[in-house]
Order: sequence, then structure tokens, then C-alpha cells
Amino acid sequence: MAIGLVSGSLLRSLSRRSGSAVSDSMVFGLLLGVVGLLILYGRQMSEGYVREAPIELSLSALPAYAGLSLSRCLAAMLLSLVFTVIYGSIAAHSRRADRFMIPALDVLQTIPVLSFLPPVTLALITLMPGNEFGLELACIIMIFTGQAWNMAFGFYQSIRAVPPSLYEVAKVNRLGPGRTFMRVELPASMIGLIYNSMMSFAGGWFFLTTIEMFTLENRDFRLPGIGSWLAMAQQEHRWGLVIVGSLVLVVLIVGTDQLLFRPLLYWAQKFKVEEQQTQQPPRSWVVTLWNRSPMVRALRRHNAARRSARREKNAASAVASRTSPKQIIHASSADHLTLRRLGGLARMLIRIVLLAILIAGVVSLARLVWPLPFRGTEERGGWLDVAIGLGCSFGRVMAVLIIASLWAIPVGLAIGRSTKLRSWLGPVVQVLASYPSPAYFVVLAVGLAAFGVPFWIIAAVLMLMGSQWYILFNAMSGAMAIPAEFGELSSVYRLGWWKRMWSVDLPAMMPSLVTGWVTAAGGAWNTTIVAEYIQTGLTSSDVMTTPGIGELIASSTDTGDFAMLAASTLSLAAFVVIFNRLVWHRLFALCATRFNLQT
Amino acid sequence: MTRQTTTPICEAKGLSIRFGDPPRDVLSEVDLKVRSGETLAILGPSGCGKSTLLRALCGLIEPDEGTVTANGKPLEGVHPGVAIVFQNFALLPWLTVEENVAVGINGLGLSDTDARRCLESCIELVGLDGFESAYPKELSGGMKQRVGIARAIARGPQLLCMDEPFSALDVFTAETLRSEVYRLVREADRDQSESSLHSVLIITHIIEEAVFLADRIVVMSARPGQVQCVIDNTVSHPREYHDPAFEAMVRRLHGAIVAGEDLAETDRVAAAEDGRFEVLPQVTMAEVVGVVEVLHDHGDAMDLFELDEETEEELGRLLGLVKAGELLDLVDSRGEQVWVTEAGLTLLDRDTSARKDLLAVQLQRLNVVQWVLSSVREAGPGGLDRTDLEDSIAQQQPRAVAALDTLIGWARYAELFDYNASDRLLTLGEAAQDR
Repeated sequence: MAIGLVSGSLLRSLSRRSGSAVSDSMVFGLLLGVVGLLILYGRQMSEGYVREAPIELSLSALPAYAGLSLSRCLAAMLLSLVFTVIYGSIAAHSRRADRFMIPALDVLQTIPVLSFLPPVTLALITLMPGNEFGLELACIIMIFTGQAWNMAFGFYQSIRAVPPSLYEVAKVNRLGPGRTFMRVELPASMIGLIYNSMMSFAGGWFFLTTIEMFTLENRDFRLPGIGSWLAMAQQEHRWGLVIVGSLVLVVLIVGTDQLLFRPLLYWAQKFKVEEQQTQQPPRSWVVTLWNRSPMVRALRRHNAARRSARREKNAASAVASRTSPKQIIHASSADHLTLRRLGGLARMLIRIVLLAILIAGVVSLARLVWPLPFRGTEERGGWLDVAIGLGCSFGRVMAVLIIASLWAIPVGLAIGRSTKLRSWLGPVVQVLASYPSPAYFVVLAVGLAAFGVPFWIIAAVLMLMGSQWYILFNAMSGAMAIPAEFGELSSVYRLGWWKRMWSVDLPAMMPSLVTGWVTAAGGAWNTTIVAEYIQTGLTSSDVMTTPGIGELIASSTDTGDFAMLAASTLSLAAFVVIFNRLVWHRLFALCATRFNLQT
Repeated sequence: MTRQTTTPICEAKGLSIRFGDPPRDVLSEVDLKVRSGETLAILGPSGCGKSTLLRALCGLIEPDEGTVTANGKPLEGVHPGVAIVFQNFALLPWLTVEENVAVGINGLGLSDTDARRCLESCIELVGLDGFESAYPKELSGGMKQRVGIARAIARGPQLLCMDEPFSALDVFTAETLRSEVYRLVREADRDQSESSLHSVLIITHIIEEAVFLADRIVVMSARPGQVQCVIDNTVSHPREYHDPAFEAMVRRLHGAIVAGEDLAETDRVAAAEDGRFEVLPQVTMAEVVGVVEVLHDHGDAMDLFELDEETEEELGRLLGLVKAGELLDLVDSRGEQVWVTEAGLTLLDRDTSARKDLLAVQLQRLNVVQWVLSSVREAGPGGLDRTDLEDSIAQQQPRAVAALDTLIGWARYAELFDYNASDRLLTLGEAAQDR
């Protein structure tokens, strides 16, 4: 769920900027314009496409399906990495691009993944008609939209944090931009990149059930995978299979974490820029096993022997021929001038193209949204419904934040404060948190409905399931960041539980808590789409719905009401961006001053 | 000072505390009394567990063995009469100066007017008037620690604990604050009826600080933390740094600390006899060479005390450096006298690469180096796997594994062998290949 993960740090950095409202709205228009263009284009071209791959609901098919889903996630990760490196380094190096590119990430991550779905899918299956590749690619891009923004922003931040002295070294030694990137920027941002990839990868599982199997303009789109397998099993109410599938999903999540990301993190420790050791370095049992393996060790010794032989040979030849250091060749100034002129021209062209897209986008978006009436009819909603939906969802999001805070802050505090609790509860919480809640939404919804719980509450419960973990996680890390002296101080000066909570612990955790709230709110908004509109059975009439913006987006995707889809996505994104500016930015600013522990 | 009652405010008996995995003694068998009305200093090098001892006496840490009593009764939970001044101030950044000080009188049940009067007088006492509504962020380090002190004395504690209160401050600020604390403690002592500040426990690693402030000084040694000796401070008030009596006291403490460190020479001889591995102090080779250089600059021989002042190194660490120099036979010492050996003088005469050759020779005098070197040689050109090495060292002498990083650092410096951290392989270095 990239929306949540990124928003914390992104918002914090945005809150430090000033006067970017104009560029914000430009970017906003531009991006939504592109979405609008895609929708218009896809709609015209995709008529007549039918794709309904059969999903085999058998245990023997499951491993292959799990593999397919995993490779989709990995492919999306690769795509995100490529995007991240390009986007992040451009943004970090160009002041001017920075002004638009970073707010662009802010807007992009407020757009729910599902809103990308219709335009991307329609465009791609149109471009590649008649085979599954288009749909496959669409699915990968959907996962990508849940990962990339967060990673790009993280990468941008780490490049900006590269110590200037390292750049000076690069400049003095004439490394050039390419080698500066490989030798300085990439290594310096490696740890952050891996951490962000890990988080984003976990987020990638979130919408798997939604992305591998969905309805668009009343047509079913299915791709074989564990997500669609789980969705099918739930719709056919085969609970046994749901349990098995969920367990396989746990194995996948824990497996990639332990086998891929932990060793990577361990490896990345050598890229640590600051030289003193701070906290406990990450450990990985895979690496320990690896280091213990006789085969690996034999291989290393073999290589080392070869290296030393080569070194001796080199040393011998070096004595024979002493070469002088290479002369440094300067580019002539005339070349420089031409290059600069060309660069100026290119920049101009890019600007014109961007402006054209902006205008075309806004026009197409306007055309798309124009037919939507203020007051809807029975079959078709209007602007009023969008406003009501937004209000209902907002209420639900706030309720989720409050309820989650009530339990997660004390629990997070307890876990974060005790090393013992942390060592065995930490991993459990991590698995629980990265487990994609949509994978059991139908089970939960049907179960709760059986007890007579109204669906407007069920929807809130489902949203809670997805986003409470962010508050718990941040409360945990916030509690860990409370200086030990504050605890001692509270004991020595006999502050009671309540007083300690209010005057010591909560303020000390505040920066983490705000990050947690922003993240959880982002997650909750994103979950509205899968929580307010659930297909519980096989026929299209087996749907549970409750008024909300997510319900509007999901149902308009189903029926292909693009005017409604565009209007509700636009309103949601605008609402979230404005709310961020008005509320979260201010809280972050307050945290940076009043609640900053670095005094 | 004069009003000693029979029951100590705080007493530790046979106190042992273990941390870490596998558990390691941080404090071992510590006996300590804090008497009523005295100022007690705990003096020791970093890592001797003095902060841990303070926290155990306050009841913030439960001992693994032994007992702590408060006013004669076994301590349960936090000692009711303590207040702590923390090394890093531990002020709550979201509260103003006055609110921070008010934390100190929490739960005392003072009436509003009493509380106000108490806060005002404490803030005035530490010289913070005018800063009541400032936030800690706006204050300098010295001012922050004044808030910390005001908060602690506002409680009117039976035992005021100060955990290295001046070590986070710059030299000048520390000096100012130190003499103010001296005045504060002295005045509180004299004015017995008004203040209930009975005893002060101060933790420090600076000898002069202990002599300046304390009535009694507990000298601790490290790894595991133990009480080495307790010395009554006989220097009369008012105390001045350059008073002969003061300097004599500092020297006496110095001697006590040095006497507690076992001599490296005997250590090496003993090790050589039965083939045991030497215990390597955790210092770097460059630092050891630096000590030799400093000694040379001062006529090849110095008093440990002078060396300590010259280098401004913490005494415990300086002793480690001297010990390492002795292990390598670059310096020698007897009592408090340290001098450069023949080998040390030769070392200084040489250029960088010749120095490495000499250090390689000196290093090979050590059992542990010989042993590791022959293991690396046996392993052949592919090199020796660190995991294997650790396993076999652990079989011989488990404690030596911890010093492996230090050993590798020394040997790398002398190019005796090479270590590739990503492959975890030790290979022979240039200095060892010719032989």
C-alpha cells in the first residue's frame, strides 16, 4: 500500500517547502489529464475484447499460481526500480524538475491503485489485442502503481542526503555523472532503496486479489495467480481452500522477506555512510547459513587463491613496465557551448510537450466529467453522490484512525519499550501487518454479516484491518526512540501511568505517531475501494455495498461509468491533497519544532 | 558530613549485574554504602559499570545477585528519596523550563502556593530566573543542565544522584557548573535545617572532579566492574585545584588506579610460559604508536600522570594503550613511570614501511599471533575462514574470540595478514610472505 508508506516522509518534506501551491495544481492537472486521456483512448479502442481465463480451483494448481503471482510482483518490483532510479535521480539533480516532480509523487500516491486500473487495462489490451500479454502487463503496472511512488521518493531523499564532501571527491577526481552515480549515489542510497523496496514489495501483495481478477464495464478479467485463486475460492464460499491459499500467501510473504530482503539488507550494511555503529546491525539467518556452508567457503578460498596468484603476476609485470598516469583530457570549450545550446533547445521542447499534454489532459478530463449531472438518477450517480460518498468515507477513515489509535498506541508502547516482548512479538506483528487483508475480506464480511452486523460497520472494520498496523508499527518505533532516561525520570519522579502517558510518552512518540496516522489514513482511503464494495458471491448481484467514495470508484469501474470514475477519483485525490496540506503538514511542522527530541 | 547516622541511606551488598547474550558480568560482587550527609564519588573508566551501579542503588535496575537496602530496609521498586541529574540532561523538550522543574515535585502533595514558592526558589538557586517560560531548545548545554539540577533539588531528595553531570558540556561551561554545584552542595550541608538534601552521589571518570566535590571516593575497575578501593578525601574546604593537598590527593588516586591494573609484562611472561593467549586491550595500533611518539617528544620517559594530562585521554583507556605497548615491547613501565624501549626507539627512526616490518616482528612475539599466523599458513593460498578460526580459538580459550577484531586490526596494520570482510577470509600479508 504505497499510498500510506510514502506519505509520511513525503509529506514531511513537502511541509518544509513553501509557495508550491501553483506548481502543485499544475502537476495535479497534468497527471489527472494523462489518466483522462488514457481512459478516453482505451474506451474507444477496446470494444469487443473478452477475456475470461478459467481459474482452476484445485490444490495442485496452487503452486504454479503462487509462482505466477510472485513473478508478477517481482517484475513490478523491477519496473519500479528502473522508474525509481531514473525519476529519483532526475528529481534530485534538477532544481526545476524537483519543483514539479516531488509534488507529482504526492498527487500520484493519493490516487487509489484501482483508479489506474480501467485506463491502464483498456489501453494495454487494446495495444496488444488477442493475447494475454496485455492483461498481464496491465496487472504488473497496477502493482507498480502501488510501489513506485514510495520508492522514487525514498531514492530522491537518499540522493539529496549524500554528503557534499563525497560529491566534491567525485568532482575533484573527475568521475563524471555516470561514474558518480555508480560509485557515489547508488551505494550511498542502497540501504534506503532496499528498505523501501522491501516495504513496497510487501505492499504489492495488498491488491493482488483485486488486480488479478476484476470486472470492468461488466466484463470479467482474470489472470491465473494466487490472488485470483483466493478471490474465486471466496466467491464460491469454499472456506477450506481460502485457508490453504492464505497460508501459501503467508509462506510467500515470509519467504521473500527472509530469503530475499533480509540477506540484501545484511549485504547493504557495507554501504552505511556514517562511520560509527548506531543500532544493532541487521542479522539474517540465511547469511549465517551461507557463511557456514562448506561449499561456499571452499569456493571463496578457491577464488582468493586465484586472486592472490593473479596479484603476484600483476606485481611482476608492473615492475617491468612503469606507466605514467593517464593524461586528463578536457572537453574543448566550443563543444561545451554547442552542448549547452542543444540542451536548452531540448528543455524548451520538453516544456512545450508537457504543456500540450497538460492542456489536452485537462480538456479531455473536462469532457469526461462534463456529462455528470449534479443530482444523479436511480441508475446513475451525480456530483451530489460523490460529495456524500466522500463524506461517508471520510467519517469511516477518521473512525478507523481513532479506534486503531486506542488499541495500537498502548500496545505499541508496551512492545517498543520491552526488548523481550519485541524480540518475539516483532516478527509476528510484521507478518500480520504485511499480510494483505483483502485476501480475507469476503470471509470476514460474510462472517460478520451472519451475525447481523450492518455493512457500513463491516466496511469500517475491513478498513481497520488494513491500516491499523501502520499505527502499531509507528507507535513501536516511536516507543523505541524514547530515550531511556525518560523512563528512568518517570520512575524516579513518580509520574503515574496517566501522567507519564500524557507528558512523557505521547509527546515523545508524536513524530512517529503523526507518520503512523498519515500512513494509516492513506491506507484506509485506499482500502475504501475494496472494503465498501465487495463481491461476495459468484453472480454480480452478490455484492455488499455501502455509500462511500470507494464504492463509487469500484462500482463505476464495474459498470464502465467513466465519467463517475473520473469525477470520484478526482474528488478523492483533491480532498486528500487538501486535507494533507491543512492538517498533516501542520502537525509535521509542529513535530519538527515542539516534539523534536534532538534538542 | 558530621551528622552520620548508623543506617546508610543506600547500601549494596554483594551486588552482581549481568547484561547481554551470553550474559556478561557488568558488576561483580560490589559492596557500597552511601552514608547520610556525605558526598560520595564513584570514579572509574568507561565501561566499569558505574552508571549501572547508580541505577541499581536507585532501584531502577534489579540486581541479579546481592541486595540493595534503602534506609535499612530492603529496596522495593524505586528508592523513595532519590533524584537524578542525567548526563544528557533528559529534559522534556515540549515543556518549558518551569514545567520541567515542576516534574521534580510531582506527587509530593504540595499546595499550589508551596509548589510555586519551591519552583521559584529552585530556579533562582541555579541561576535560571528569567528563563522560566523558555523551552529547552532555546538554552545552551550549561543552561539545560541547570534545569536538570533544579528539577532534582526541587524534590528535596535524600540522595541526589548525578550521573556524569558535566561530561556533555564543553570544558569552560563544565568548570563553571562544577564550582556552582560545589557551592550548592556545601551550602546545603551547612544549612541542615532548611534543606533535606542529605547525601550526594556523583559519578565521574575525572579524578580532579571527584577530589573537588566528594568526601569519599570509590575507585572502580572495569570488566567486570568491581570496587577497587575506597578513599577518604581529606582535602579541606574550600578546595582549589592547585592547592598542594589537592594535588597530592589526585596523585594518590592516580596511584590507586594504576596499582589496580595488572601489569602487562607479567601477563606476557606468564602467558609465554604456559602458551596461553594474551589478553589484547581494545585499542588500535596507530594509537599505540602515537603513545610512543608522545613519550619520545617528552624525553622518552614520562610519569603516567603527566602522560594522562598531555593526551587528555581517559585514564582507563590510556592504561590499555600502555598495556598494549608493553605487550609489543615498545614501551615499558614500572609503577607510574613509563618509558620507551629500544624497540620503540628503533620504530620511531624508521619510515612507514620499515615501521610495519618492525611491528610485524614485535607482533609475532605474542602467542596468539603466532598461533593465528601458523593457522593461516596451514590453510594455504586460499586463506583461512574466519568461522573456522573462531571455532578453534573458542575451543582453546573462549574469551579470546572477542579480541579477534582487535588482533586482526593490529595484524592488518603491520601487514602480517590480510582480511577480506565480505569473504571472511584471512590470508597472509606481505610482511609474512617472505618468511
